[in-house]
Amino acid sequence: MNARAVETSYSDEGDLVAAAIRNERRAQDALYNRYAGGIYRLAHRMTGDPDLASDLTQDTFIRGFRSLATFRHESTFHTWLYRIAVSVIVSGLRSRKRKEARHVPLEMAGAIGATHVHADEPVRRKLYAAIDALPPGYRTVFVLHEIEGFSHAEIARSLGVSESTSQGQLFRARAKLRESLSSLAGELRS
Amino acid sequence: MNDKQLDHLIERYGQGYNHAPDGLPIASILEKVHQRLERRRYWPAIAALAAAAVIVIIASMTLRPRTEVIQATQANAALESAIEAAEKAVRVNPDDPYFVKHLSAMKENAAEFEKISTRLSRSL
Repeated sequence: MNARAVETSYSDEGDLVAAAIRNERRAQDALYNRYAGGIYRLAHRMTGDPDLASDLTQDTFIRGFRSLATFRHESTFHTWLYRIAVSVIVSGLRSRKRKEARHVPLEMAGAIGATHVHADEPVRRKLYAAIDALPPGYRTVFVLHEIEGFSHAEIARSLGVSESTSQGQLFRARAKLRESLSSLAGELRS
Repeated sequence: MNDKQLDHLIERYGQGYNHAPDGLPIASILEKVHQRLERRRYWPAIAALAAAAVIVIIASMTLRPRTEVIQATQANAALESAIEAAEKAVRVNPDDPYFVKHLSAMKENAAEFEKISTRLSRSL
């Protein structure tokens, strides 16, 4: 049975989650197929490392499936799982101490994060290098809020900090970016 | 650079930041997830087995001296009965060297058993 057929055999996500709690592999696979792509992309976005992103996606689902019984339906399953994902990704980044490798000077930015050749490639590269050069805490909040669209409340819950801490880190991240990218100001409309 | 200019940059290029390449390794990750979940399912059984093994080892270390004491005590009791029987035989046949000789040997053995039993009891 393919993933879509499995999904349709459960009437809604609540049934799917309940079946996954009962260790029904088909239900776990269906949940995985529904959310793995997004979580992998989030992990890749936050780490810039395909192998690490793959490991962290694994860790997220292991932790998610093992703690499914604690899911209280107070939020959507999507929100609950992404909260786990952010927590796993952040601790993965901390424990593997990859941050040193991510402090790339602007002039050595190279092709980091660039997937397409574009006429305004230098601007894009400078932006990505400036984001990479942010301190890890600032970068995490910046990526989650400004690129992934998480609210400060969601970030605060995921990272185990207060909303004001999240807001403060974003404010400082943006200030650093404005400073790092000041050379581009003349090229952009104000 | 002002906030508006930064917003413009983020809006225009933000989604491309560390954008995951096409062909995500989703299937291979799922396989690993299931392998790890399976392994974790065996952990309680392995832990129970290990705990049982430890209990058996501790029990055998603790119980062995007790068992030896019990065996020594039982042997002593059997020997005392034998001595009583031998003494009776000696009383009936005071000149028979066979009974006299074995009565003496049994008394020596009984004294030895007593010492072993006492030593084992103290070691507990």
